[in-house]
This record gives sequence, structure tokens and C-alpha cells, in this order.
Amino acid sequence: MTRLYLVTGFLGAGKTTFLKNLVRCFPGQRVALIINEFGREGVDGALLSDLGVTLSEIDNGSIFCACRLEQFEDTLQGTLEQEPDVILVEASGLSDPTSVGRILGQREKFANLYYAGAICLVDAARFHKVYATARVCKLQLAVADLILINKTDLATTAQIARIREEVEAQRPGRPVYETSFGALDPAWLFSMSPSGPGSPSGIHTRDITLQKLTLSVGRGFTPASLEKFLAMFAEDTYRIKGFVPLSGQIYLADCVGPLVRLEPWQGDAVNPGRLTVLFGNGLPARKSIETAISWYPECEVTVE
Amino acid sequence: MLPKEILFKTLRHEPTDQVAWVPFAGVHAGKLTGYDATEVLTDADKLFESLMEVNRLYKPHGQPVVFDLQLEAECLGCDLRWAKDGPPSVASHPLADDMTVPCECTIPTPEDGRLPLVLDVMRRMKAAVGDTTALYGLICGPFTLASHLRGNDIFMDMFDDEDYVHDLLGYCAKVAMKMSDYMVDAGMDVIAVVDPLISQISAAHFEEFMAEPFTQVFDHIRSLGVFSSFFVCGDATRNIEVMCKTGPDSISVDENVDLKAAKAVTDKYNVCIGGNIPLTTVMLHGTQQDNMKWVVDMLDSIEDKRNLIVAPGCDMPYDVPVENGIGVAQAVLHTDEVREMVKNYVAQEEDIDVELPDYGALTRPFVEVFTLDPATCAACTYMASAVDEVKPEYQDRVDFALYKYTIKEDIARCKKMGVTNLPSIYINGQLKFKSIIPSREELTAALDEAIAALK
Repeated sequence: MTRLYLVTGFLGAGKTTFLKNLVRCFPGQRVALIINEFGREGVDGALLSDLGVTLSEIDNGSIFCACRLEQFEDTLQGTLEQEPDVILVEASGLSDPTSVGRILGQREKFANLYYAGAICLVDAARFHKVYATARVCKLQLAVADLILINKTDLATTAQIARIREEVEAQRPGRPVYETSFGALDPAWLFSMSPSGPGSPSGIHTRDITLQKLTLSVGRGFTPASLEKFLAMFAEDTYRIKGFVPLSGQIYLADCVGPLVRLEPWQGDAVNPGRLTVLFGNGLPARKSIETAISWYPECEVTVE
Repeated sequence: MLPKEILFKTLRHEPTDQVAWVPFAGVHAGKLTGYDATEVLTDADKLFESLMEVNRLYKPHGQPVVFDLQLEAECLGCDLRWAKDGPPSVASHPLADDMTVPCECTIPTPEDGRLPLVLDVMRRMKAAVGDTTALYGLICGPFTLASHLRGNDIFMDMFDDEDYVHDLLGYCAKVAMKMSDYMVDAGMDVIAVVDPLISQISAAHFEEFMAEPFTQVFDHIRSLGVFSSFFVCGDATRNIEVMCKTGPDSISVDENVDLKAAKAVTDKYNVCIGGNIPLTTVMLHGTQQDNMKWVVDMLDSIEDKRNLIVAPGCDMPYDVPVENGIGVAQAVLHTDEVREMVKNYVAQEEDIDVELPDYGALTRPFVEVFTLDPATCAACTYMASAVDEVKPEYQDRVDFALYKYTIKEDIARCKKMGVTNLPSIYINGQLKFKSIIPSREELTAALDEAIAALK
């Protein structure tokens, strides 16, 4: 079984430097690297050949984008045929990796692959700037199983504490470590467990800014259009949960942050057609819900 | 009505009898002629030949002449990394360590980079098919160009130094306007401003930074007397409305956007919307049936077809099977027939039992041409004519048959034989040519070989 680690982080977070340290964490094992766009420095070819690491590269777009997904899947299949012990995938800084579970979960394509989880690097000095301007930062954190606050040498203690608080609020229960120059303790890797969206427990009990509303969802949605509807405001919420009857079947909507999940539901459904939405901390959920409702006027969604 | 008039009417927001169809065959054009991506983007003759093949096989109302967002960046000093199956990517950013706004004297001239090649092919395409087909000139949008020049630090700059970002985007908008001038002069009917990075920012940041430069660019394109389009990719749902406010004649989105819901929004602004055939799941990996069904279902789901353009979600992947492009074209151009084909494909199994010849026991070669319908599908017409042309020479030694997917029995035959690519030619039950039309030499060689094998 080959273990796959995904490395994410916005450009400038220090992924390439981190990767140089990460490849050394598997002594005696066969390691393969898949890099999605080189950073300015690039990974040192000599270092890789010393360590016997093979390298593949995918340019011109994120590996998770519809335009490059095919190439990523082919490269991954080719890499798996070489039966390495570990595959490290560095996603481009602009990647939206929220589909990683679905892609790597294709057993028929990727047998013998164990997804060990996503490591997200956060740039301590610039976290708030990129978080404010680039939407993917939130999405990269949303699937992170191990979060490294990197470049702490460039930030104040107060800055770091604030970042930690915000990151932990978004990914409760996930290990968060502070580091600089992309250094890591191999033991951190053992603290990872890829278990899908994190439990939101602990987000809201102490948060006095927390707000809650209920959406009543009328008829007219298909599963695909309800997913799109939820995706229009999910990133401005902590949680959306509830049962919705769609096309003669009950579905469970269960979204944590920007991750939208909608699955057929077989058991009893409490309050079908009503979705509970939790948000707060200045998130513009009400405005984006309003916009989403205006996109689907025929679906009779109302805020209670 | 001329095909390009259907697109023009759509872009003028008038009702049309047929929905407009614009295949974004960028590097994929090379797939039709056997050239790789680098060849079609660096060799004018190969590019022209490939685009003509797109025009012949996919019967577009409009088509892009080149789909390469790195053209301007290359002129402005970015290094490119080339690929065989996709456009090049930018490998270095000249302003990465230098927070300056380039002087306007650096704006590319028609002699810079690959512009001579591109403008030359635009003129040749205009002369060759411009009477019937609308031609799209694609320019790199100001935000994507700024990120090519500055690198992704542009996202930090939006926080740290708003004025710099405004100024850099202003420069990039001027480049875009100049590029529009050159392309309109070379005969382009529609200028598409392609800016995939737009999906990466919020609507608020769009309004703060992008509204002004994009509005300028679209106003300028309008002043040149041609149509405009705003291409994005990725999940741009939240930005559709602010994009409309910059005044393009049309926008084009990919599969991340719910086209039906988005159209209700773009209709409010009287902006056309194009899209959004899924690139990988349908175009690249789907069957011809899947592609036809997707288009028919999409068209059937949208009641008001004014302001609608059928197009792939973005630049088509190089390796999209040619028959899938043909299937999409057929579904747009002959929707009612294809709706029946798709329905019959599902329904026929229990109804009709066709008997296949015992191919192993044939005494003379048997050539079977499988088509969607040679009367309506361009590629099928060419495939059938290729066979008709050699028939007189071979008919005393070879048997021929033609099947049409509009006939239920023929659908049943396709299914039983496992024919998935239309048009195609089978000889003695074996697939010999699919989608790409064989030359006379290739076809006669295959027939001679089949005759010799039976001797």
C-alpha cells in the first residue's frame, strides 16, 4: 500500500522548502514526488537523486482544476505502477483541493493507495492578507489534516497566537504546529488522520458572535442544483445541516465551512426541507444567502 | 442564415432559430491534424491547417483562432515552459522582485513575440472562412496578465499596496486594449477577454480592483465595432453579477457554474452566456452518446434560448476524442434528431434484433460506413464521400454499406457491434478509420490490403 500526503498552502507559504525537509522523513523508503508548478526556487535535483526520489511535474493549472485533473490522474496512476512507499503531492498555491477525497477515493483507478491526509502550510507573516484576498486559502484549510504555521521568525507572538486561534476555529481537533524554514518533526506526521470534514464541536459554545438561522427549502431543486446553491454561501458559514427531499429521495446536507456534502439518506429524517445554518464572527452569510436565493427563485427558499 | 449571423444575432440579444455553437478548440485543433500543442502554437501553417479542420469537422458558428493566455506575457519577458498536450505555462515573473509599473512604451507591438504568427493566421482564417464563421481573438485578461508579470504576490499586493495593484492592472488593461486593436485589424469579429484568475477573488475585491479596468477594456472593444466576451474558469458563481456590470456582450463559464441559474442572472443584465460542457468527465472521458445527451439535456433545461451559446467549459483538452466534438456539434445543430437518437439508443435494445454478418466467412471485403447522418453532419458527409469516391474503382471486388444513426435498426447494429465513434469506417467488422476522414490513398491502401488478405 502506497501512502499519499498532499501538501497545500498559498504561494509563498514555503511549500518547496518544506518539501525538501519532508522528503527526508522517509529514510529507507521509496518516495515519489508530484509537483504542481515549481516555486521560484524549485526542488534541488541533486538532493532528489541522492535520496532516490522520482519527480513528476504538472504545469499550467491546478491539479484539481477540470483542465488538469486528467493529467494528475494519469501521473498518479503511472507513479503508483512504480509501487513507491510514499507519494508526496505538492499542489499549486492556487489550488482548490476540496475535491481531493473524492478524486483519491476512486478505488478502481487508485487501488493500493492510502490517502494519509493534507498538510497545509500557513505563512505566519502574511496569513491575514492572503486569507482576505484569495478564496482558495479557506478551501485549503478546509481539507487540512495537519496545519503548520510557517515562517514564525517573521511574525510576532501575538500574530501567531491569533492565527492559531483562527485556524483552530476553522479546523477544530486538527493538529497545529508552529515552525520556520519549513522544518518539521517526523512525529507530526503520525498525529494526522484523514477523516473528512472535522467535527465543529467547540466552534460555537464560547462564541458570542454565533448566529443561527433556518432555511426552508421548497421543491424545485435537483441534487446538483442544491449543491450549487449551498456552495454559494457555505464558505461564509460554519455549518449547514438538515434533510431535504429531492427527486423522490431524502438527502442529508452536511456542510462544514466551504465543504459541501449532500448524500442520499436512508434513515429517519427530522424536519425534512429545513436546513440549519450556523455562522458568525463577521461572516457575511446573510448577504450571500440572499444572493443564492435570488439565483434560484423557483426553488422557494425562505429564511425563517 | 450564415452560421456567423446566428452568433451575431445571439450577441445582439436577438432570438435565433438555432442556438449558437463555439467550440473552444485551442491546442485540440492540432489533434485533428496530428500536430502537438507546441507545433500548433509556434508554426503558422500547422495552426492554420488545424483550424481549418476544426471548421470543417465541427461546423462552428464562431471559433477562436488561438487559445494561449501566455502570448502577451511572452512579449513582456516571461519565460515559458512548453508542453506537447497543452498551452505553455509562465515559468518566470519579471516583476516578481520589482514592484514597478512598466512604462507604456513597453506595450507589445504587432512585431513582438509570436504576434506576427498569430495575426498572420488570423488574416488567413478571415480570408478562408470569415464569410461564414465568426472569428474570436482571445486576449489575456488584465488580472491574469498582472499575475503573469508579478507572480502570485499580486494577491498580497491587493492587501498591502492597493495603489500599485490599480496601476499595474491599468497597464495590463492598456495592453489588452492594444491587443484588441491588432486583432480587430486582423479581422476578428469577437474579442474574448480571458481571465481565469477572476474566480479566485471575492465579488468585493472584483468591484474594488477589476471593475474599472475591465469596463475600460469592454468599452474599448465596443468602440472598435466588434463584439466582446468575458471568459472565466473555475467557480466564478459569486462573480457572475459583477462581471456582467463591466459591460461585456457575453460571458463564458465552465462546469463549476450552474448554467441555468446563472443565465437567469445574466439575462437580467442582457448579457449572453456561453458554456459549459464539462471538459474532463464529458468531453474527454465521455462517449459520443454522453456528449450528445449532455447538450440535448442542457438545451432542454433552458426555456429561453435567447442569449445562449453552447461551448465547452474552457479550452478543450488536447486529447478530446474527435467524435465527441462531432457529437456535440450534431447535438447543437440538429437537436431534434439527436434527441431521438439518444432516446432510441436507450430504447432500442429490447425492440430490434439485427443480425451481424459472419465476418470470418466473407469471400470479399465488406466496407461499412457508420454515420450520425451524412445529410446533416459535416464529418459524416466527408466520411461517406471518401468512400463514395473509391466505390467505382472497387465495387466489383468489395461490398459497401452505409448506416445512419437516425434509423433505429442502424442504432441497434452500432450497439451490437460496439461502434462508439461516429463517423467511422469498418472493414470486415474491424474498425479502420474513426472520426478523422481518411485520404484517398489511405482508404485505397486499406481496401487493397483487405482484398489481398482474402486471396
